[in-house]
Amino acid sequence: MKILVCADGESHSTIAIKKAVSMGLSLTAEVTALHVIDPWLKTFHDEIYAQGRRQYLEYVEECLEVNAEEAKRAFYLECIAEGFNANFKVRRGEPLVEILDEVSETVPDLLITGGKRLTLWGRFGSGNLPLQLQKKIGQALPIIVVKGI
Amino acid sequence: MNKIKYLFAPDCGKYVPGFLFCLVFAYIGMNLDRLIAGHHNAGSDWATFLYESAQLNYVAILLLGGIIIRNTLPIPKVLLPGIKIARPIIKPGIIILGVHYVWADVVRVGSVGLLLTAVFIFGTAIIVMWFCKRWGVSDGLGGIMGAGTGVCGVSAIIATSPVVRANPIEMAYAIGTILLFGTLMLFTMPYIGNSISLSESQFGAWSALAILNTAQLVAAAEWYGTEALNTAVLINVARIMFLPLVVLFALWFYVLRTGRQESNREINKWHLVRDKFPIFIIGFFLFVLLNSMNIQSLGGPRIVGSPFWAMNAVYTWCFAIGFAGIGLSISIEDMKKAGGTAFTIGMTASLVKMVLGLIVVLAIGSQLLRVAGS
Repeated sequence: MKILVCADGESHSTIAIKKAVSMGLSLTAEVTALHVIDPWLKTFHDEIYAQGRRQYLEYVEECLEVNAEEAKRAFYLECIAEGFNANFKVRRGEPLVEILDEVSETVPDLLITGGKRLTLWGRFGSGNLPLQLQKKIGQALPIIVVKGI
Repeated sequence: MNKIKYLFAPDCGKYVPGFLFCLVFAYIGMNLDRLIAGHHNAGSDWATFLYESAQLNYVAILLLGGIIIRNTLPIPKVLLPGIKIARPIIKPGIIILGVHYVWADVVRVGSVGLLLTAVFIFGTAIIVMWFCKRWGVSDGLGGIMGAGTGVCGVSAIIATSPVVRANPIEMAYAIGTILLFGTLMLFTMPYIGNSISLSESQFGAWSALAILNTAQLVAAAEWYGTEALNTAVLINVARIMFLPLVVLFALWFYVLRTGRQESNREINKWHLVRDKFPIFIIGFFLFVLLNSMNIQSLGGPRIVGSPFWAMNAVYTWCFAIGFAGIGLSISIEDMKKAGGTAFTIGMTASLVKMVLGLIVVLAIGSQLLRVAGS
């Protein structure tokens, strides 16, 4: 059995990782954590009056790399604490597209993702990635959305 | 031949399709404007409704049309790089717009603008940063929201975020919030201005003080009328001159004052001011200077056939292409990133600036804000 868990470094994804690791242990499944580096912020470097564009791009890149490293570290710490072997992958691009591509390439049996408890605005907002994933994947793959605080 | 090749970026070809798309879109928008204006002048009721009541000129056509296209049709990826570079075409338009002014305008409207922007920019930045600090908002978010709501929206966030070391989630919230409120103000303020019979020069000053994002500010003023644009651009030039100072203030407020500067990240203050200074403003003032010198061979924007007259015709095209790029770049998905504390700060700051800005321009009156030109 193969489990794919989304790891974006936020608190709800930490809970999702715990869930994935515990399921991996109990089902003796192969667990892969996926972190997507989203370059969305970089698209604003050419704003009309933007000054210090190169510095901004370098800073955003540095932050995104640090976030990816932190997510990886947190994931492996969780795995070590549970005595479990798992994989960590990084992709770069729009999160929804990259997760769907990973699903179609590796064909997991279960997808686990964290999800925020959303306000009315949040439900309208694009931050609702789990809902979008459910819509796109439909019945093709079971998805567990672990709600955070 | 090789030398000519080096004038272009190696991957400049990727910008061509999207830029041509914006050019064609701008051409259609401007001709639709002329068509509606023509029917309106001929006494057609539908055209009068569109032209007067709905204020559907080329700016509105390009912005609304662009938003509809961007958010309802699947835009081919090949067009996106060119659409993005169409937006900064507004910048040469602003430089050329320098031919609309003489030094008397710069001194009169510019000094009023300078005073207003100094109060509004530093007032907003200081109050937002102070309240954020008091309410326990992180330094990164407080710094970028103070600069973003105070100076020039997303451009200020880009300049400030590396200095205050905002994290990507905070930046996403802040950019989404600024885009959301900038767009809301762009589409509501011209109608509010019209409903309370605000003069063009007053509207120009109001938009330059209140609208968070600079691209939207220029669009709203041009939408309202040429006089509004002239006043808005002059005050906006004063506003963006403060950008390096606000970044410097954020550096002092969050880093130097608290002694949190890391030794390996020492910031040279002079380099910071130099890097954040909007250098294109010099081009704008150069044209103001040339226009004020009354050089015969250059003519003026109203002297048909003269170089300045020709340049004046070009600025509308720069703006039209830029507005096409802005409209086609306004993505509802981007604005949906607005949220969290940034949303509350952005909403409060925009509403307060909108109301206070309106009170101030109503109190000042039209005369002091009017650009007479040559």
